Amino acid sequence: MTWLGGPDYDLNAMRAHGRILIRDPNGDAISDAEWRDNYINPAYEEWWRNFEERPGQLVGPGPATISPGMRTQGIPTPGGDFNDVVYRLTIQTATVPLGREEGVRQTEFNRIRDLQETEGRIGRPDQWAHAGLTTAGVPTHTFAFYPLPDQIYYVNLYGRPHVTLLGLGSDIAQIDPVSQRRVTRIASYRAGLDLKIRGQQLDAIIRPLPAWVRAHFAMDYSTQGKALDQADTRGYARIGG
Amino acid sequence: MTLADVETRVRNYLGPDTVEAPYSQADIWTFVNEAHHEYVARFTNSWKYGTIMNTSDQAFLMGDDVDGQWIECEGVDAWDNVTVDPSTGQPVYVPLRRASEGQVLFMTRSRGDVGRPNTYSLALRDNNPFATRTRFRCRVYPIPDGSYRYRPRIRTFPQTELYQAANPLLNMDDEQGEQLSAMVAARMAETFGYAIRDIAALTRFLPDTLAAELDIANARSWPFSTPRGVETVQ
Repeated sequence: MTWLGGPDYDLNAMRAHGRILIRDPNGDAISDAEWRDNYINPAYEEWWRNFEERPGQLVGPGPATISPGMRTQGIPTPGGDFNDVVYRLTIQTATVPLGREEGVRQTEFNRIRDLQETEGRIGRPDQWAHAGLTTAGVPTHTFAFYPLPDQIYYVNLYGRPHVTLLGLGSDIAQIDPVSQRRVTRIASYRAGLDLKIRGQQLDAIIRPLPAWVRAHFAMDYSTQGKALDQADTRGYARIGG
Repeated sequence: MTLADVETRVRNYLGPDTVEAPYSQADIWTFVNEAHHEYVARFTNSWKYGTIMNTSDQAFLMGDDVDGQWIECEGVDAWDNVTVDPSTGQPVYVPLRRASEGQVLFMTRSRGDVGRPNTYSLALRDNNPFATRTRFRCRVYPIPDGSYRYRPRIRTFPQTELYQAANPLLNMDDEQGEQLSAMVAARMAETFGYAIRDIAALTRFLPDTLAAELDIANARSWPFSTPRGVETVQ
């Protein structure tokens, strides 16, 4: 995302923020490359995989084309995932200007192939089906449409995009600004664990994170009293050791 | 309240020494931006009008512009391009009732009334991460009998980081700015290892809902924090 004016919260800003959190403002403890490859990118990828579903994202060489009379068409989805369980597609006429995207009813692959070979009606497709084939382990999504296309149509696959990991210092994590900061704190927490910094410092890093984030990334146990061997700062007598 | 105002308050909370402080102005601004985005997303119910769509279509894309990333759409108003307020001459926008997309589709395909729209639905159409906006497909019912203008009321993330001293906080009054300053100071104090009693002092005057949401209730109630072994329900 590009923000209007001002600096972006890019990888450089995430690193600087993380260094503040682990009390290493000069960057002596962890190098730039280590921050990016060992802490920020893994946290970003895990965040994306678990919390950024984005079912409405176009995947594939969109839009793909289906030709008149075509029975099956393989449509690759580089940079994204697609399956016929949760994702969908639309078709539109390949005119200028483009026709409106229309939803298409999903059915079974064999059913469509049977209709194609028996009834063989030609017209605007109103049913689609997907066969999740693979070639050398790589999914080669094969689609079939019925009625058989009477002209060229565009097919838009709405799947789930893969994350693009951060490389340059100017790269920006493609998530909302609150989640960007949470990824930074998760990365800082893990860096703090590796550096064996105090439990109270780790607690300060993760405190702004909501409970569901701390639960998912297993942050609570390490900062609970039973796991700490340092005296805490609370003024009351500890209950239960 | 501006970024400079928040920075001044944070420095006063943490101690006015700028020579031996373990934080710099850039550090303060980083914490302020973090808290500012979070505060806008969770607490400020302020909204703004998105770009007006002028269309006679029954389904159209909303938010196809640089509105910024939507947090929530609070409502859609419609104007028939005719009715104006007789005293001001301004167009009269009428709020539409919200329904689910399935309900709108069902009514469209079963009853199929044609007339002035009174119901709308929003469905996420494209959450392109490489764009500055989120796009929703808006469907209205009854099927429009002409051209209408649709005006969404939306909440968005700020379209920029706070990066200059004079940058104002987004849609926050002075009281909210004071709360933000205390919250930022408390977080920084905890990060830089201030004593817990001092952190509690910073957050003592924050309202309960804010303290609970931001999970600073433990520090706030020192020395009577939640004992170990007791689950805190979030």
